[in-house]
Amino acid sequence: MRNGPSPASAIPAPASWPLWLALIVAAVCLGLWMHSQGLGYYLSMLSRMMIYGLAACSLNLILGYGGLVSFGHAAYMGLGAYTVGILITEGVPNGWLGFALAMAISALMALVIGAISLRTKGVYFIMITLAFAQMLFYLVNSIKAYGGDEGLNIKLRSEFGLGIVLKNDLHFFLLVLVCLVISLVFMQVLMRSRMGRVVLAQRDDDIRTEALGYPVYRYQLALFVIAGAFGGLAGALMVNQQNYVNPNLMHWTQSGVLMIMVILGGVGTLAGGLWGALLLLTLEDLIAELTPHFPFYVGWVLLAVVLLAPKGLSGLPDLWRNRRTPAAKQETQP
Amino acid sequence: MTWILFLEQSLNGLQFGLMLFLLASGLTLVFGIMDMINLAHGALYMVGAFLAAWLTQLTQSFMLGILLAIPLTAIFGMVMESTLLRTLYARDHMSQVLATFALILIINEAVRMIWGTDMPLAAPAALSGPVELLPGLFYPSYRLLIIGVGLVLAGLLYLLVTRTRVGAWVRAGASNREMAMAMGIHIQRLFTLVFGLGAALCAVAGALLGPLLAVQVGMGESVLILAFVVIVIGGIGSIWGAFVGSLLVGFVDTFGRTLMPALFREIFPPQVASAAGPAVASILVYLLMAVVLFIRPQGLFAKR
Amino acid sequence: MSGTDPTLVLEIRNLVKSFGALRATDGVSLQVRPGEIHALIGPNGAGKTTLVAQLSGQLKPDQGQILFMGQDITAVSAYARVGLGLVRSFQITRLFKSFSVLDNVALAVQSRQPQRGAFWRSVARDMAVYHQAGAILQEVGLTQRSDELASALSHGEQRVLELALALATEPKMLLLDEPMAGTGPEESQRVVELIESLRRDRNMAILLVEHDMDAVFRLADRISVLVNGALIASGTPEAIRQDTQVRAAYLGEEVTS
Repeated sequence: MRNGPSPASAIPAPASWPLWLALIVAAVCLGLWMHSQGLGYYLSMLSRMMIYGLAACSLNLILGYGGLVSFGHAAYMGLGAYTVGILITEGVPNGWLGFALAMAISALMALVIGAISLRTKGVYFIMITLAFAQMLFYLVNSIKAYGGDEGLNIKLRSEFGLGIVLKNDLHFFLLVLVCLVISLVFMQVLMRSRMGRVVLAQRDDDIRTEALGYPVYRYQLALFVIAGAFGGLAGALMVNQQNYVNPNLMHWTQSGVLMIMVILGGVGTLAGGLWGALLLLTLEDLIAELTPHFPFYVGWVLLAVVLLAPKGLSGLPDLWRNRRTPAAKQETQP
Repeated sequence: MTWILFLEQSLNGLQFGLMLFLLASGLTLVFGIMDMINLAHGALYMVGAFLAAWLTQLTQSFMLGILLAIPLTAIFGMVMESTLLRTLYARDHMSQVLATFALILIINEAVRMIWGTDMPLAAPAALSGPVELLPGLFYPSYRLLIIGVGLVLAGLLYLLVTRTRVGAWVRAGASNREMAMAMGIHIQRLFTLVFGLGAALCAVAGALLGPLLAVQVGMGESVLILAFVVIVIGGIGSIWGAFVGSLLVGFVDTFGRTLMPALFREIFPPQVASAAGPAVASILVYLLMAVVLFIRPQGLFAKR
Repeated sequence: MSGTDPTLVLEIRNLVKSFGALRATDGVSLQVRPGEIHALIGPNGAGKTTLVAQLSGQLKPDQGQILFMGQDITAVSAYARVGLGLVRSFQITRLFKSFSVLDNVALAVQSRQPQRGAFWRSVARDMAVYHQAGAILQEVGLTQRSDELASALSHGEQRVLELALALATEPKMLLLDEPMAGTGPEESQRVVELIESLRRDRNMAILLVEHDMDAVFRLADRISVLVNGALIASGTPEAIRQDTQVRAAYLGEEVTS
């Protein structure tokens, strides 16, 4: 009898550490090379893509693994960005403090929003997370002291000491890489843990999970908070990358963009959000040269993916093997 | 607050609420009967507004512009339903959300490609002046028109849903879809019809609000969220809930924006008041939603 | 109202549940004794599943009390009841479709472990959990299917897995909602034997909701009959077989004896 999860199960396979290590080394080398070639602008762009990737991966925790369609995730990114932005504006550029506070505040807001939203299901849940996120958008939009709808400019980037100068594109890229790697490792460990198993189970059938003795609400809430914290981390990085933050970062349509990244890269896979972000943003930059109507084409691609390949690009092999049918409605028990 | 101001704000709230109702009623029926989350509903509102603006330009008549825009938008909605949306009814909510979000992207850009980012739409000259409702109370006649149209449509919708056979089918479908199907109601045709009706109502709201709020790409997104809030408050599938919710949201939002800053100025020191007042005003509606959810998570008049 | 009877495993007192004008549960009172298989039968729509849902905590009764092992659990949440030992299986199979058979059971076993929600310990090192899961699969006879996805099982095997999940949570009492629903004669035989072995080996108290009359009369120590939300008869299988009211309302249509 096997003493661990079956390969067929949805529980993520153990990470291939050699592969991860190779990817990290390759990324570092790429960064070093680009910096040496004076490609600082492109390095900065790459950093931006990775930050979105981190945000998308944090969304994937609740969306892909948790099966919770939260349409308000961009709010946590925005909160993280504004936390660091406001701190810097008020003369507190300490990166350690700023980033920690960004994650804490995002986590706290996720706790509040999640506590209320998770008491509802289905269509209600989606609309409520959407509404709360929009509420935060309007709130931030109305605070004139920090830019209001014009956004907040910051003059300098977070300071971490230890010889790290974020103004340097290479340093910034490496910081983003470190944050990304640590986050992904955390997520992998989480989804391979007992809690991860419960999360995946409630995605399949939350009533059954509850009927086995698990307080499903608490697990969902914990997941929500963790995802919010990582969203906040992405935001903290983002405001540094742009030296600017704008309430639009929190608009619900931004949550939609994150969702597109998740679905393109592979919903329910660890790094799907990252690949989706890289793909979408690269395409956007390329196609923007040709036409200003990029969203039009993205819309069609997204529609096609949803209707034909619901698990995203990484689900295509499964479709080929005809293993999974498009997710159908769950019968609800009285 | 003087009586005049109070009445004026009440009328504004009523006007806003009624327009919200036109949007929310279509949305709640789609949720209630088809159990489908349709983010593209706001896009229909936008399409209605753009069509009205374009047709008004063509025909040089505001009236004709609206009257032609309504059936065109309804047809557009029905085509959208019978081709794309139909495949989503059996799918999970995430797929519906993503697909309808994709539709928003497509429709927004398509409108931009056809007509540009915005179009002018002016209220008819005949209605550009104020009307003296009561001694001292002047109210824009155009807004009165909106209120009038809103009330008439609300009344007609009420009659449709409660007095006609189609309405009975709709109510049956809203409370129990399987039962409705078992009773032989042509569910597919009903869905398309309901969708078309919702699209038509969106067009009316879009066209009427165009002169007030500006006809521009993306106008649907902000109003969509409010429609969602209305439905959450009112209860999914309930037209009456949508009506009550719309008026509630309309009044709370309108009064909140005028009262909150004033209230805050009375209570708090000026620095706090000038920042907090508008901030709280803008989120008042969402706080209302949170309170309703806390007391009655399924909404005030939920069908199921 | 008399005091609690500590010898009873489950006691239901005057349970009432209405959906609008419909009284789905109309003042039901029932007892289940230790080691007893108490069958609940009744026509379709009698309110059996509604009753089970109230016992397991998915529905809140409007009135009445539910006592488990002498403790009033009427207000206790669904997941907590499992912790107390009251476990249900579902009429419509609810399994974790994206998990293997083994992982399905492992999840159930895990819920009884301390630190069941730990987020740092990898499940791959959860030897004890998988060991126990394996043992349960052996008990129900699903060992050879343990690595397959739960969705790949035949209907009958899925019903058995449903039972296995319930067992893995170390229940003191089982609420079985039509365990034989949709199974053929061979598969239902397997389920019947499984239930018999539960009573025999574990002295398990069971509330069994079933339509399969052969199984009911074979397994039950006592039978209660639910019609239109109310209990019209309760007693030994023989007494129920003779009861004229029951025969008229229900049995006469189902069993030719």
